[in-house]
Amino acid sequence: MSQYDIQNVLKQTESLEISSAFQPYSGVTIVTGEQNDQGEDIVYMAGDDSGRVLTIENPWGTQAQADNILDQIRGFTYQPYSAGRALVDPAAELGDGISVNDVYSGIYEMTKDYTPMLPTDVSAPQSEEIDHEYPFESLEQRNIERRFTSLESEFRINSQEIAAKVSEVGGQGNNVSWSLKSDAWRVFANGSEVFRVDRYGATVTGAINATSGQIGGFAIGSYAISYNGLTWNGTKNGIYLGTSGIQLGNKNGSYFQASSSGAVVAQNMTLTGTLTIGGQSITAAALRGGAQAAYSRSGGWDNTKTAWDNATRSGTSSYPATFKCGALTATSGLSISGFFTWGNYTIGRTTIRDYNNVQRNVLSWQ
Amino acid sequence: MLPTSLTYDTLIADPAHYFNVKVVINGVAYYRDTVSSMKTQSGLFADGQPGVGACIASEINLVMLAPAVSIPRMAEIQAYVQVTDGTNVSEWIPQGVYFIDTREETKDDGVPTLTIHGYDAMLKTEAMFPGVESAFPMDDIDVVDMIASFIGVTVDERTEEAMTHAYQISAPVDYTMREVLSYIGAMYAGNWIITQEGKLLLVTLNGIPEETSLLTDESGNVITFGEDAISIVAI
Repeated sequence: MSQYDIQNVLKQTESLEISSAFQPYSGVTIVTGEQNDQGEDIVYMAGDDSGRVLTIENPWGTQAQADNILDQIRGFTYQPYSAGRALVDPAAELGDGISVNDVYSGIYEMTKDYTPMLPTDVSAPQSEEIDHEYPFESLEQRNIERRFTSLESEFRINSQEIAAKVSEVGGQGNNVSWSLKSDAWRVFANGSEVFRVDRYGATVTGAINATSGQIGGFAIGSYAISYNGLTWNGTKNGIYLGTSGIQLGNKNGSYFQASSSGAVVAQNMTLTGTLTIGGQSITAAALRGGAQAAYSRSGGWDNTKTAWDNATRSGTSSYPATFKCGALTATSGLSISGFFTWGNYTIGRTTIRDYNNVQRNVLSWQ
Repeated sequence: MLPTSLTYDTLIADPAHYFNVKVVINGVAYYRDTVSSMKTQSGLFADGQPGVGACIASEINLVMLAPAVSIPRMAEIQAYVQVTDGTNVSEWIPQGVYFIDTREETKDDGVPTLTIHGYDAMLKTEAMFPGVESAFPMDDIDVVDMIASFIGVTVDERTEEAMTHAYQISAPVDYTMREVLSYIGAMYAGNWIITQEGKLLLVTLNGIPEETSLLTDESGNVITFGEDAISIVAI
């Protein structure tokens, strides 16, 4: 049941321009201009973009509204036309149906000249570019180009208007859409934000491909990012991260280099923790083998973790208080500043004592 | 379509018909002998292309002999037409209610001429939604009634027929009445106008009637057989 009536103008018009009917409406998008807790635009969509999508900006929008509107307009086809100086009943109202020649549409614009015959311009307006710029293209192609023309025209505004307030959306119903508002410019892919520019800068969610430029002072080069212009094997203090590996520092000075094949070279390295090499560990207090045993270069050192493992460092000495090993061979001078035991005897620098601590002899150094 | 009388329908079906005009300005009626030119312009859409949520004010341009009486600022103009065959006349059909926006008085060949431009009451919705003590949220139609009251019009009965979902409207803080109307209109895929009778009407985008195949005369009037229209069916 319609709100309105039909006006039959037939051929009683001085001019008539008719354009192709729009595609039937198949989708509705409501842009609320609000954001959820995740900072994402709240947009409600119903239907699909197989036909024309009606885009609405409404802060009070809901999903139910989108669904209801789609139920209302689904399949409706807008028929543009323009009839000049037609003889239209002055009782006709905006929204009434009108039949002009073989075209049926609605009265959406009306200009009346109240001369005795009351000629009236009536139309269902559309973007003028369609017929003038794209006269020989298919309806589908014209709709696509109109969409792009519409987007382009939105940017043909002066800077004062941009500064005052920008609020526009586009591309709803497509895989990629966008919104340009006073707080941010956003790009969406399949309904999710992938790119945003706001007063804090640019935020990208997803893949970035760049072959030049800078990120936080790091230069983006071909297959590498670097700081202070350092290249692989370069001689500047800086950072290189690229396909050759990672290099920190000047190759001719202090540097660290890990090649893409896994080789690590470092100059001037200080380790404050434990270094493990093939199961062997080196710490600030001990050089250990497996099972916590003292490291044995030739099997002659104690292997029961009672030597370095239990060694302590006291005073200013950097040596362990106790050291045990098997055969001890000195290939050069052996210096003993304290004493050593030999069987039941303790041999000092000037004395030899037995197990009862009785001095047995006095060494006299000549 | 505005309601019309049988006389009107009969006269307008006569190919020899023509129209008289009348404007009532501040309660004083002026006719074609005074009104030398009158044009009105109205539309549903913003930006010249189909859309929803628009609130477009209709306009009138009037040229007439300058009346002897003074016309106050923002005076109301009611426009009418009447169909006649030279002998019989119909009732006056309203053509809109406007308010004077600008006026210019000149002398053409020594004749004082008044040129008037006016808008209908839709222009009044550009003001901020007044602070009210009503409890929000409230039904959309109640908000529309409030706005109509604020701008001094009534709501066309077809508006309520179209607004069937009773959406809840939050308190419209920092919104103009036009913005509020726009959002509510968009909820129903419609646009707002002030009708020729001066009422607030929601016109839905797809509100036009289904196309018919009724037999009409050369003027486009439906031919009836008794009270029944004749439908053309392809065989």
